[in-house]
Amino acid sequence: MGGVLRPVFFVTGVLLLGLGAIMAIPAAWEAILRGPDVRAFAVSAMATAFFGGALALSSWGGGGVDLSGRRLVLAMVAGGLSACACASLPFALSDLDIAPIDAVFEAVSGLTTTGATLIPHLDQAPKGVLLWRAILNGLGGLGAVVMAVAVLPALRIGGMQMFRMETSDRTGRVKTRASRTARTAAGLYLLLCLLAAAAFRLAGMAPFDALCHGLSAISTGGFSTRDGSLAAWGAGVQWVAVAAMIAGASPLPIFTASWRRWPAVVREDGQFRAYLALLAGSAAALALWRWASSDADAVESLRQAVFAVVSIATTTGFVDGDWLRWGGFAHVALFLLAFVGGCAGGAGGGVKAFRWRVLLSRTGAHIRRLLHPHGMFVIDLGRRRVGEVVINSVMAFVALYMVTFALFALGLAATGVGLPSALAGSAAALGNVGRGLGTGWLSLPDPAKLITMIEMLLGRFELFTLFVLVTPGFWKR
Amino acid sequence: MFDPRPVLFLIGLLLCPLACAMLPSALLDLWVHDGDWMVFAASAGTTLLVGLGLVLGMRAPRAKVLSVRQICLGVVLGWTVAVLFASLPFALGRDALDWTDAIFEAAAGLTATASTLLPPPERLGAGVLLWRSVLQWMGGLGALAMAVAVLPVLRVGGMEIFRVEGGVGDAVRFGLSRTGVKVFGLYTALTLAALAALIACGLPPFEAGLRAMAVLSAGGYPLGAPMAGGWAGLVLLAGMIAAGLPFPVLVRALEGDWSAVRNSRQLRWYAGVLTVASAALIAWGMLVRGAGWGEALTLGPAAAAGALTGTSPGMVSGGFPATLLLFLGLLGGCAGSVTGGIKIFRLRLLVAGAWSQMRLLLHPHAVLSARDEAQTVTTDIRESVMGFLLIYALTFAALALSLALFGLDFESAVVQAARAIADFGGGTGPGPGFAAQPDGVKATLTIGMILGRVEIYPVLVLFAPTFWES
Repeated sequence: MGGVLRPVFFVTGVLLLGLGAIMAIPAAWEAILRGPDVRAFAVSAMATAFFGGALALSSWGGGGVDLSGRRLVLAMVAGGLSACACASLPFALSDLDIAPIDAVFEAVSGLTTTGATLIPHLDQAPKGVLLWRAILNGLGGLGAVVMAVAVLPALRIGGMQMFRMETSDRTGRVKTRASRTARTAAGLYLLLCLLAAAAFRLAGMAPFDALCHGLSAISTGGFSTRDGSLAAWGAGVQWVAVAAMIAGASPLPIFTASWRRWPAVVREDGQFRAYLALLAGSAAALALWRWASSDADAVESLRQAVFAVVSIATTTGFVDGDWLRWGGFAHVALFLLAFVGGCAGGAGGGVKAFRWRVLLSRTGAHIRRLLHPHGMFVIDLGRRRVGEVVINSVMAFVALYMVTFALFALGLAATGVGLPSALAGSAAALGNVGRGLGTGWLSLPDPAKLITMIEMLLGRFELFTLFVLVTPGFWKR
Repeated sequence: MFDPRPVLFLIGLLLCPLACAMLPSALLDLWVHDGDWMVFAASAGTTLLVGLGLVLGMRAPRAKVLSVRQICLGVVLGWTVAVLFASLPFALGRDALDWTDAIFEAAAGLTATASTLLPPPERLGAGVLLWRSVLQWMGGLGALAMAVAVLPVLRVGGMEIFRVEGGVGDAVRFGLSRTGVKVFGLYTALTLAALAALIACGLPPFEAGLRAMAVLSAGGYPLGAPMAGGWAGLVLLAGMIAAGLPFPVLVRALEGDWSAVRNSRQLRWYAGVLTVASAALIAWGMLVRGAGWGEALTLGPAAAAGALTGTSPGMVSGGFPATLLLFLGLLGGCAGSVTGGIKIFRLRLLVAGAWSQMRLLLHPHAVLSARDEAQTVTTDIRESVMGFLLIYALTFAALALSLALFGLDFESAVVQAARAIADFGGGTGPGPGFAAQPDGVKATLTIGMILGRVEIYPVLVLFAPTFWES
């Protein structure tokens, strides 16, 4: 077994080594600012790097790392979980004085780009901690993009094989072409983070806040540096956030084309076009409701509605106030939008726009076939034909998503959470949304925190990757 | 444009028994000297007149086979028109509901949802009480007819796997004449058995009759009043569980074909879900609520069965039961039963699909063995099921949004939308002070109940652009 799992250990070790190195950034930051948490970060960084280094060295077998099939799944999950564990160290050791489970929750919420926070007073939190949270969001988003571009299509999870590179073969091995696209997408992602940070700075944020929000907006994570999230800044910042969130949830691989072709690329990409249309439609409806039901003027209503819709639908979870006060319609609409999620190929979570689109057009064809039993109906997404295998896979994913949502909502309710919070909490955790749907994260009982943590991981790993680990067949030779 | 006459003829055929069903209420009111008897008599007369007129005037020259469009139109119009005529006694009677309320009340009855805007049972006349119960019982008949003859033919959400051999229009007639009669007979027999058992338990005959009709139709009208405990409670529980069973399978079993029961996977799932949910509610009652053995054992299974079949939410309260009952209500019983909701076989097929995807992830080149259940279910059927689930979810979303637009808060909007589309009322009314809600809310719920009962597709097909083309 040890021999078989060696590549898995190696990859995990390398991942932790990198994480430890990155932890040095907030440590240095704290040291420069003479903050209280230098020691916490330094100790965590060293521990993580040491553990990772030891793991990598002990399992280094020379030659290439063969990650295929089950080992790829295992490496992903092992890497993700151990990263979550190590990333929680600084929170546990810092001045924040939070319980261990809260520290783990914070790390999981950050790395899965959920953005639900258990730190009660962000305004007074050490800068190093705030920076670390933003970095976790950024890393989580990066991981999500790489996973969506290179790993999930190869594993053929939930119809993601649609986005497989033509050259990759069927052994599930991550091939060179795929890894090149992944590298380009990752580069684009980091570039977007910097651009967003610069835009936030120009819109009036302090440099530190701009950097943190740049990371958490593009990653669709949603950690903020303030308790009130984006309510602390003006309209300009919120429009920048809207643009950044959409960029983060967009299918990044299509933008690896030359920028001159971007309009054409967007027009051809069925998923992204439908996604933008959905955002626009929902925002318009919500703006109308807001305008009619409050004393906000038209421009103000539009800004608030666009911000709310984009924040939830891209699964970011920035807030600018208490949306639940807008009344039942807004609450129900935002709850439903949490199920949409981002686009496949981006950092957003949730079901993903392309799956809904495939299902919808397939169902439309089904209804037409009721009337015309012998008609032939072809489904396509943009220019890509959607085959039967993909449809089966998409259906399985969406069905499993719904069942998981329901079971975890039940679990939450069993811990004593009320019905509305249980529904909203389950949707927000599974879709990696985080704040904004009316779940009082801070007041959750400990078992509920554990449940939502598992749900965040399930959502981020696209369900099947985790569920397959608990099937008996997985561990057989 | 297709020939609408067979459709109208069919509606006439539906209205005649509806009119006859009003007569017992008229006679009862006449007997107890309640002035409402005239209302019932007049409503019955009107309904019968229209029904007979349609039957006689729209008789097609030759008995022709119905097309898919005619079936869809017939189903949608049939339920709507029946609801309109069934609302007559509510609108004209002593309690004089306005038209929105009366139609809501009739739709709640006929879809066996059994929500109510009327005052509590003790303040109602005997005729109205009987009329509501008869309505839900006839609704149960309608649901069985849909499940046995119409939905499999229309291939609604995978129901084609329960299809009887034959062409489209033939299958409707065939399904109704062969299986249908036996299924209706079984339904009646079970109701009578429940009635006898309840009388044997000491309930007054009138109340026993109302309750027997309530549980077997999965409606639940008079159950808003505290549910009977003791032996009568057990009978009611058994009745509710029976209402969620697949009636065609039971008929086959009674004819001696026990393999039908043994091979029915949805039956196993039904039992499983019921057991797990009951156990969860019992555990919750004892551990969290501190209830005693007796109370927990009485209330837990009753609430689980009541929610799964869409009869009555029982007497449990709290966040966990509320969430559990919400999902159970949406799930519903077996296909071929009187219950609403998504139906258990669809959940089973979807889970099986997800399971086989997981195996594909492990063994990309595996050819799933013939034993693998998912293999025997074709992509076409799974797609049909998934399409149904999607349409169901979208309809639920639209209903919830609409309710919230008319002013309900998040929790009420979500719960009421789910209850309406799953035809899960339970005699308690949609909530205290609900009669004061805006008409938009009641209209939305009325539409939701009917959509849930016809399983949405027949309505959706009417809106397909090609439907009205010749």
